[in-house]
Amino acid sequence: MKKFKHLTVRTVEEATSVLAEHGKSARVIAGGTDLLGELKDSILRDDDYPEVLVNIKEIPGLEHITAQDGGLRVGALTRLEDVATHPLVREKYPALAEAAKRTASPHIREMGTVAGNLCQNNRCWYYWVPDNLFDCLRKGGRACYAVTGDARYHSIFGAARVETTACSRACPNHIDIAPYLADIRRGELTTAARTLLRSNPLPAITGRVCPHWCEQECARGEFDQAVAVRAVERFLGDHVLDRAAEFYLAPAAESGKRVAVVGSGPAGLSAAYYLRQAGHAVMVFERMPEVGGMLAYGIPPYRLPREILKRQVEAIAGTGVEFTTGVEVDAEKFGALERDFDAVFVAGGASKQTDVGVSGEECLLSGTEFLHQVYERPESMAGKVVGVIGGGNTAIDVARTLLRLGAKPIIYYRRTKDEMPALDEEIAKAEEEGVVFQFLTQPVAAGVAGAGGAAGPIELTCCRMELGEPDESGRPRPVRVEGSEFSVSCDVVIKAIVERPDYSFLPPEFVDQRGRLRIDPETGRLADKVFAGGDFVTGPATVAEAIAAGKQAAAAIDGHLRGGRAEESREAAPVCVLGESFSAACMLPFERVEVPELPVEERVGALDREEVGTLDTSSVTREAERCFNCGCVAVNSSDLAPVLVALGGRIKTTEREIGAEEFFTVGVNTSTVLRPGELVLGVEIPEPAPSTKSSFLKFALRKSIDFPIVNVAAAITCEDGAVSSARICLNSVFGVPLRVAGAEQYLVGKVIDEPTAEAAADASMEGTVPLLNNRYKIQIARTLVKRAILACAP
Amino acid sequence: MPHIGDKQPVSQPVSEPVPRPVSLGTVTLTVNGEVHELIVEPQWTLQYVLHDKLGLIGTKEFCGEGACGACTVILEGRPVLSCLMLAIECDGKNIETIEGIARANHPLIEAYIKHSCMQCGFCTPGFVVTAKALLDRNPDPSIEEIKEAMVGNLCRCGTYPAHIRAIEEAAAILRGVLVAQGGEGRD
Repeated sequence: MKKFKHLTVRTVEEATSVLAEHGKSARVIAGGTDLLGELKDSILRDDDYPEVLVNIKEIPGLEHITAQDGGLRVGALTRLEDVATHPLVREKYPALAEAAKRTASPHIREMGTVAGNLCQNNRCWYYWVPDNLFDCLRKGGRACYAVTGDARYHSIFGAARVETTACSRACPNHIDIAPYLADIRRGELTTAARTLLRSNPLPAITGRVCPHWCEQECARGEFDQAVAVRAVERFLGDHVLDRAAEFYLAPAAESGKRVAVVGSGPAGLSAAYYLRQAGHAVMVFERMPEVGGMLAYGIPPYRLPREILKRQVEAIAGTGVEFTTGVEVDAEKFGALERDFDAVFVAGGASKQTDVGVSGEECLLSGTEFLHQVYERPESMAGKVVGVIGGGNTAIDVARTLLRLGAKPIIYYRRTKDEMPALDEEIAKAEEEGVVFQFLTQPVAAGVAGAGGAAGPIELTCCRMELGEPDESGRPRPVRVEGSEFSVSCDVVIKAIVERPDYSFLPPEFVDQRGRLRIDPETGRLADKVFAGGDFVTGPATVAEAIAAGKQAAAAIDGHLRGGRAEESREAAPVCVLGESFSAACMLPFERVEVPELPVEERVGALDREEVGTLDTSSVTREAERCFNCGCVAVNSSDLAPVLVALGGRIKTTEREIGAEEFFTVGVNTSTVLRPGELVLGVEIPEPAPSTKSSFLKFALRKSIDFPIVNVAAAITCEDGAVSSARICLNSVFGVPLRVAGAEQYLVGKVIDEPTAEAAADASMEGTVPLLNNRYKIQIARTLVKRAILACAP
Repeated sequence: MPHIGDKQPVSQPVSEPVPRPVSLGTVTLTVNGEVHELIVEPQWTLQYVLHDKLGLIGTKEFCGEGACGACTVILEGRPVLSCLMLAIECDGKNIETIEGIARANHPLIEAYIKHSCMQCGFCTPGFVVTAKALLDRNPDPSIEEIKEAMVGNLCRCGTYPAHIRAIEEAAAILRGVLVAQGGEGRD
C-alpha cells in the first residue's frame, strides 16, 4: 500500500467536517476489508488513490441493534456477524439474519459493517482483478470485456452508460452515437434522426465525408469489425433531407436578437443552425457565389454531390436562416456587421495560399484554386500530366479530381505513405484508381520549359529525400539526399499544401504581433460580441471539427445574448443511464454491412458520380444490431441490499432518511445516492405485519468469501391463505438491486404453491438481456425467485 | 456469547476518556497479554506489525485480500484478518496470536498434531486461531458449526477433514469429557 494520512474521528460532526475539508481525496474506513483490498491490489488509478483515510470506527453509538416502535434499528457500524446471530433479528427478520450470515467469510463478517455492505462498490471480475492494468469502460477505457467474456459477476438486465462511449469520445463533435443506434434497433427512425440532429445538423454531409474517428475507436473493432457508423449516419442524413420540413423547424419563439455569420462553410452552417434553433435571427454572409465554403469548393462532387449540399442548405434556410452570397467582408463591412448585429460569428475558413518553397512558385496553381475552377468550369484535361505537391487530403482530392477529368496525376510527397496526413481510406482509393505516388520526393524548382511561354509545359526539378530524426510534429524529418536532383516535365503543377486563414479584414487589435488571433480558446470569443471558429481559428481541419466549433460558438453566443455565462448553455454531461439494451446478436461474430460502392472503372468515369451509395433500411437496422451499446455491466453485489428493499427499509444518513430502493438507484461509478461527505448512520426496518414471511437466498460458487452469482430477498404477506402483497428483490443481476414487479403483481391474490411460484418466477425474468456467456444466470435467478417465494408460504 | 443488543451502546472509549488525534502513529497493543508501545506508519497492516516488527511470525500473510484466513488473529474476542486491518486502528486493543495460544498449551495444538492437520503447515496457525475463537464462544460446536466457522480458512494441501476431528477433540478436552494425552507446554 502506498502511504496515506490517517485520521481517527470521535464524533459524526468531526467526520463530516474532516470529509468536507478533504473532499475527494478522503475516503472513509470502517470495516476496511473492501477498501484495503482495493488499495493493496492497485485497483485504483493513481488519481483515485486516497490521500486521507478517515477512521469512523471509534465514533460511539453507531454499533447497535435495537427494537423500536415494533421495528428494527441497526447502527451503521454494527458488524455483520452480530446481525447474523442476534436473537431478535433471527426471530423477526430471518431474511436479514440469513443475508448477513451469507455475506463473505466468517472473519470478514466479524470486521465488515452494515453500512460498508450497503455502500460497497459495484462488482466486476475484470475491474477487481489484482493489478488490473487493462482499461475497462468503468476505468475510463474503451472496452467491456464482460460482454463477450466470462460474465458470472455481471448483469443479465442490460448495462449502465459510463460517461461517454469510445465512439462519442473520439468524435470531435461528440455525437451521441449509441443512443440513435438504439432508436434504430427499436424501429424508431424519427427519434433516431432527432437524436442525431441534436448533435449534428449536417448528417447527410458528415455521413459522406467524415473521417469517422468513431469507427476507428469502436470497441467492436477489437471483436470483429467496427460498426459502420458513417454509413448509418448517411442513411439518417438522407432520411431527414427527404423530410426536411418535418425535421428542420423554425424555433418556437423569437429572441429578437440578430446574429451575423461570416462564412457559410460547415462551421458557419452549424452555428447558424443552432443559433436559429435558440430563437435568434441569423444572416449568413458568403464571399463566393454558392453557399457551402469548402463543402462546395473544396470537397469534390464525387464525394459530396452538389445536390446534397444544396438540399442541406435549403433545409437550414427552411428554419429561417438567411443567406447572402457574393458578399466580400472587408474591414468596412466587418465594422458594419459589428454595429448592426447583436453578435458576429466569424467562420471565414482558411484558403489563403502559402508558398511551397519552390523557386518559380508563380508557375504553380494552388489546390483550392484548382478545385474552385473545376467547380465553376469542369473542363476535360485529357492526357495531361499533372504534378501535385503535398500529402494531405487536398492533394488526394486534387489528384482524384484530375483523374476524373482525364489527366494523369502524380503526387510528390517528401515523406513516405505512412506519414501522409491524408486519410488512409482516401489514399487507398487514390491508389486503386491509378494515382501515381512519388514518395520521399521534394520539388525544389519549377520553370516554364522551352519557348511555349506561360502555356508551355513546366519543368519541375525534384530531389530525393530520406527520413531523419522526428520533428516537432513527431513525424520523421525529411532530409535531402545530396546530388539526387532530377527533372520531370508536367503540363500543370498544383501545390496542395497547408493554407492559412486571412485575418486582414479584422480590426488590428484582434491579432497579435505574430499574426495570431487573440481568442479565448474556451469560448471562441474575440471581442465582446465577436466570436470565431472553424478553420479560421484552427487552420485547415475537418468538417466534423468545424461543425463542433460552430456548435460550441452558438452555445457561447446564445449565452452572451441571454446575458448569462456561456457555460450555462452548454449541454450537461451525460449521466449514468441504466438499462441500456443491446441486441443479443451483437455478441456473436457479425459481419459488418457492405457499403455499396462503384467499381473503379465506373467511379473515375465522371466527376459528379458519387462513389458510395446509401444503405437501405434493413441494412441499417442490421448494422445497428451490431452496436455493443457500450455500457458497464458491473452489478451491485450487496447481500443486505435486496433484503432492505424487500422489507421496505430506510437508510438514515447524516443529511436525510432515504428509502432503500431509492438509496441504491444510481449506477456504476457510485453505488448509492450518498453525496460527497454524507455518511450512513444506520438502517431502520418497519415492523412486518404478523402474517408476513421473509426469505433470503444466495447462489455463490463456494460458501466463503464469494460474491453472489445471484441473490434474492422476498417479503410476502398473506391474508386468508392468499397473497395480499409481495416484495421481491433480486441482486447481482443488474447495476442496482432490482425489484421484480412482474412476479410481485402476479402473486397478489394467489395461494402460494409450486405452480404459482413457478409462474411468478417466469414473470420475474421479463426483460433480461444476458451477455454472451451468462445466460445461465437467468436460470439461477429464476430458480432462486421461485424458492424464495415458496419459503414465504404461510 | 454476548450479543450486541445486550450491551448497548457497544462502543465505549477504549483506553482514555479524552479524545485525541490518533494520526500520530503511536499505538499500544496488548499482544498475548504483553503490552507493546509502537510507532506505526498509517499504511502498516496489523499482520505486518505482528510479523515483521514484533517477530510473531506465526501470523502469515498469504492472499493479502481476505480470501485465505492465514493471517487470522483474535482481536477483542473476534477472529479477524490481520492483513486487512490497519495497525494504527488497533490502539488499545487486545490481540491473541498463535504464539499466545501455543504458550497457553491450548488442547488444539496437541489435537492438530495428533490428527495430522497440516502438510506444508503454512495455513495451520490461521486455522488454529480461528478454531480457538470458535471454542471460546461455543464450547460444544456441532460438525456443521465447525464447518461454518472454518469456512474462511483455506488449505492448499487439502487437510480439511482432519481439522474437524481435531477441533471436536480439543473441545471435548476443554469440556473435561476427554483427557488430554501427552500435553506438554510448547514454549
